Amino acid sequence: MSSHFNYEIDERNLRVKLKDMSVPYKEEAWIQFENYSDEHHISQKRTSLPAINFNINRTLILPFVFGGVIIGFSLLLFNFINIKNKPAEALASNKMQEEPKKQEQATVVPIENKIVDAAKAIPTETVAEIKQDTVKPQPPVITNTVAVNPTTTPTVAAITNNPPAGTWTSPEPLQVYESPNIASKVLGTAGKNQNYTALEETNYFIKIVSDGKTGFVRKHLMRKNGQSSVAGGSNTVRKKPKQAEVLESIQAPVKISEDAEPELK
Amino acid sequence: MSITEVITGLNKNDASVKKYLFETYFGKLSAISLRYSKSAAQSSEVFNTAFNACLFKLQRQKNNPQFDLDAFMEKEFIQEVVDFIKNIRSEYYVASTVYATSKDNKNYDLFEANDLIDFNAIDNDILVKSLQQLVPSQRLIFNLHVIENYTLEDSSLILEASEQTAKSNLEKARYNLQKNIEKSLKEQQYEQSF
Repeated sequence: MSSHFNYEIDERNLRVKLKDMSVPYKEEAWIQFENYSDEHHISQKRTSLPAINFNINRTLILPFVFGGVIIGFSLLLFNFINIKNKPAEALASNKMQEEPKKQEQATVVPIENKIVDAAKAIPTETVAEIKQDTVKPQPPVITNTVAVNPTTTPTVAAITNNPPAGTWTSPEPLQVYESPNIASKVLGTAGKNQNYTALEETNYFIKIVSDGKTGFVRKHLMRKNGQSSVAGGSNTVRKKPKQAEVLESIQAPVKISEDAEPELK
Repeated sequence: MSITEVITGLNKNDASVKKYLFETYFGKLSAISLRYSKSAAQSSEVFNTAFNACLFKLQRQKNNPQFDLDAFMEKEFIQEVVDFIKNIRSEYYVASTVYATSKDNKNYDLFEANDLIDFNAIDNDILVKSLQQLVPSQRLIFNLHVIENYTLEDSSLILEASEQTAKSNLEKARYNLQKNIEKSLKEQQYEQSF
């Protein structure tokens, strides 16, 4: 179009012509305008306040909508992070609550033992009086356990997490480890059919004294006196290892003896 | 009549002040509305609406002795007229598309001899008629840029369109205007021959 088209209009001349153009005044036009003006008259009172033209259109609404969406998602994300952190906090708080309980239970045992001894020595009628005397200075938790009949003393032991250590027999020669971890150093060997007193028990290890050395042997290979089979035998249902125990076995540091290191020449 | 008297009179809704303003500016502003409209009827409607809006705006002006009433009236009137034409959506968007792709435009004979036509000695009536025959978007940009001497940037801002669109419409307007003038002249010659 533009390649062959010759624009021949002089725009300056056109501008002058049309700019100077004027339409003669007509009375009819004024009447027409007067009628229009009366119909569309809007009385505007002048105020001292500045006029604010606030047009609500898409350029105003869209940023607010997007802003709202972004803030909403941010809050959602923030809440999600909080939810994820909650179990860890709950575990920590549970641990904090359990620790004082353990301490209380630890204090209970000796008192219970004393009460049980006293109950054996004194006739049953006087037991209640003794209980009251002994219980008074103790916290309320202890009174609840003490108020039981003296014959129920085994239940008192059941309150503690670790049952009283018993004697164990090793059906076969077993390795004695330095710590409750099979990766730890082997201190020696536990003899076959020998009785050992368990100083401490965990789910997988028993702390014993062998040849004057304190070490750990694997629990499932030992047999508790009074039981027909070994602890981890076919008669007992082997429990799934708890995460805590697994961690315990992993976290134990592996000591490398200095002697074992090869000398550099 | 001073600007203070005009504003005070408008605030009091004084008909004599309105008539004074009407008589003063009718000729010039009516010619502007004729250029921007598609017909005399629309021009009348446009004038009434735009002039009324101008009076309202003038009413809100503060009393300033250096206030240029002529410039204010012309500027505001043009703005109001453009808004009015633009707000006729059915014409501004639909009609322009139809008109731009009409067969007449495509069959324009580029090699037709225009040597005999003196485009600079044409009556105002034919010029205005040719302008009115343009589609609104082309008519507005031609009026704003060529006749009112606004820059393309300012024109595009007033029309709320991009500068490229304004430029494109301006080129089309130039082409169509020349064609319309030729057409109108031929029609006039044909009528005069009888």
